[in-house]
Amino acid sequence: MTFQTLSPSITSSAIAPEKPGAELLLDALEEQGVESIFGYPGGAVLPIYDALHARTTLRHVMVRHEQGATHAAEGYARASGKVGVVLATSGPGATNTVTGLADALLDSIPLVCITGQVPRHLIGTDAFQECDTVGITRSCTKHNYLVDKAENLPCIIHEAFHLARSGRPGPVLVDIPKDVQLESARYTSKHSAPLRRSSPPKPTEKTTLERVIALMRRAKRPILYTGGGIINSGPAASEALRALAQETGFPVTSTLMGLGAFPASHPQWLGMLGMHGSLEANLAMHDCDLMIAIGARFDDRVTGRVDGFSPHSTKVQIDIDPSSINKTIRVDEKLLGDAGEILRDLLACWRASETCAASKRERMNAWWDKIADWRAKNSYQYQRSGDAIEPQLAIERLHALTREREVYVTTEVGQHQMWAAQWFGFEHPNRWMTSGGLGTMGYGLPAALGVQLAHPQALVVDIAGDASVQMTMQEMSTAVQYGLPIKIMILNNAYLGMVRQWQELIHEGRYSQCYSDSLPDFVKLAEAYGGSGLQVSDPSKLDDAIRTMVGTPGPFILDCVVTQHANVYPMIPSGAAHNEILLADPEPTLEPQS
Amino acid sequence: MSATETRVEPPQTAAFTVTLDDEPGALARLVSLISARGLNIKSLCVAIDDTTDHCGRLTVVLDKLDIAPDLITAQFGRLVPVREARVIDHGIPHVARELALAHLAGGKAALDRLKDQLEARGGRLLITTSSGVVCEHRGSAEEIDRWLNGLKPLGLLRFERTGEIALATESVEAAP
Ligand SMILES: Cc1ncc(C[n+]2csc(CCOP(=O)(O)OP(=O)(O)O)c2C)c(N)n1
Repeated sequence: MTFQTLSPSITSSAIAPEKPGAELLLDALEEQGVESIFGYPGGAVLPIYDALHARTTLRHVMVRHEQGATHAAEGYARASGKVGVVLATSGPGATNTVTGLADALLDSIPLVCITGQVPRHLIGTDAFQECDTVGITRSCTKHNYLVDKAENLPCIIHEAFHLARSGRPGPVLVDIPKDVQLESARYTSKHSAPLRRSSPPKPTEKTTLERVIALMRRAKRPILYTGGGIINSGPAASEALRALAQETGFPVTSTLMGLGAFPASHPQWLGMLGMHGSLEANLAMHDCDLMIAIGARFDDRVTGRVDGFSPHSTKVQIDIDPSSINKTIRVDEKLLGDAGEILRDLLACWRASETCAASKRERMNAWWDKIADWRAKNSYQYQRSGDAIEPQLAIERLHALTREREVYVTTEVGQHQMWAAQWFGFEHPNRWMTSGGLGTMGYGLPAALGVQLAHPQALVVDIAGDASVQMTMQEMSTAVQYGLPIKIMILNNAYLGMVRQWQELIHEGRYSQCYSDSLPDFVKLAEAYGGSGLQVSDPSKLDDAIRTMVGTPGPFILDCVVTQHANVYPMIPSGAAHNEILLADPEPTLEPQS
Repeated sequence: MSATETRVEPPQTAAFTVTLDDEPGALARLVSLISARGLNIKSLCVAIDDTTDHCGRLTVVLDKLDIAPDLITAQFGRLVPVREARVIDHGIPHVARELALAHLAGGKAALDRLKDQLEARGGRLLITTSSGVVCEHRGSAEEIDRWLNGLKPLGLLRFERTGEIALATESVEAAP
């Protein structure tokens, strides 16, 4: 089969000089607006590194492991709104990117990953460092390509960027055989490159909008269920959400991925929903009569048991990805398209619709009273002992002491991630980077590198667990080499805390392989890499330690020794319904509400 | 509406027609999407068509399907090379046909008898070989099943079947 669909439509390249594929690649990256690349060299990409050597326009960050490159590119993409770019060699270089690609696919992060491949005549011969990269990455990318000749390379790169950022964003991989990197051909500019999937989605029909507005005007127990799609749509979508919430007076909850789209300090904010979400968010989802899902995909960590999920509500779903609609939960109205655009359409329609008696805000009074009762249970509460640092306290203090600054937070995966989501109040979009879909331990540290590169002046903190951080710890070396002053705050409980919690609550306390008997000295480790560090275990010294971390130039590890046996509450055990939520207090499980 | 409608009970069989770009790996993408979801391919029939806009056209039949078929077409729609995917199930007016070839054993003497039997069963004689005859039959998958079963006692040496291709006879909403 041929690349029939990709051959340039216009031969504007006729006057362009011939260049090796490696140069064509870099020209295309530049034309796509790329400034930074996260990568690691090797035999199959040496022609590309050779071409990079002479380019001052492209900044390359050499990581210490290709997984680190993918997460750094994810952090960069999420914090900057641009496409993150990864460069890796064939074979082990390519396979090392798989975790990050899968992570980006589930969290809809736009990445373009370039890998080298053995020369064309060696493909399929078990050549040195050969692997079937397109086969291996097929199911963890939005799309991938094996480039057949240099002539097609520029068009493929342009289409790869287009696919990565359009629709539901995601990772795209381009595998380039070494001899294609050396083969000469003419450049095709992005304006001449044919692109698939470039027709904009149809605007939502007015009648659908009006039906949704009518539901909204009548609803007595409405809720806006928001997700990462709002973040992906860009800051304007968060603005539109804020305006819509303000004008309708509806309560707002969000998934883990959507935090920051709506300000945590706002009175209509219910907190995060889902397995470790707030009581008020989860019970409001269960009891609502109208649910408007915006850029949220009814993940199993959100729905719990599907047949117990919000049984009495009319459901409206706004999503750019047709396959995310009705996937696990059937909805009554669907609005296909960009979250920001549809929110603006809804807002305009809301303003234009005349206010009838039924649409007065008083109709929701009883609902807000109910929410106030749930809120009063203070479901995130924890016991403060005063003689040890509770993990929640560490995050509360970090938030309190940094709220005046431009601060970006990344996390690893585990209990610390959930406490960060609960206790660090996000006011702005794009400030929170976490591995929500894949749940990748080792994400946060390299992601922080990418965020810091995008925002050199900002404070970037990786809220980490002692186990997760060791999965990609070697990227400390990258942070030092490139002067990226990331701060790593380890909530050190010496356990794989989330595993311990499940073993305690679900496996009758059989703590199988969840304790780290020998942890490294994290302070010495930071120093060994050329950064600095501090350990704190006394709650009265916590604030000073956080100030030291924030105030010290360069990469820093704060080893925050916390209580070992704390659990994350509330918790909806997997497979349970929202109203079967477990609270920290030895309170009985709540009875079904309605 | 109830949440359970994303699942279908009991599992059913559905055919999907898909047109896709002619590029390396396009078919692999579709097939691996199906297998990654634990679905079973009953048949897959594909050809590159050059008569119009140069694309691959295929019909894939999934059986034991416990997911609503429109969710499968939406999944197909995620694949970049997929231009159009539609479900063809019992509710949609369509024509479905499969082709089978069968090689039957028999000397010259048996031939006349075979011919009669074949014609009675709806098959068509194609060629005569040194060891017997080759015949073809067209029909729905069930008709082909019946035809092949009927041939077994007549000395069926070997057979091949294409799997169904389906053609919707009314325009339906298509994905993507
Ligand atoms: C790569 C990877 N392996 C395994 C897991 C399963 N897992 C989820 S949380 C967790 C423990 C994390 O421990 P730590 O980083 O110390 O964080 P804590 O839960 O103690 O805050 C594990 C092993 C995972 N999410 N990712």
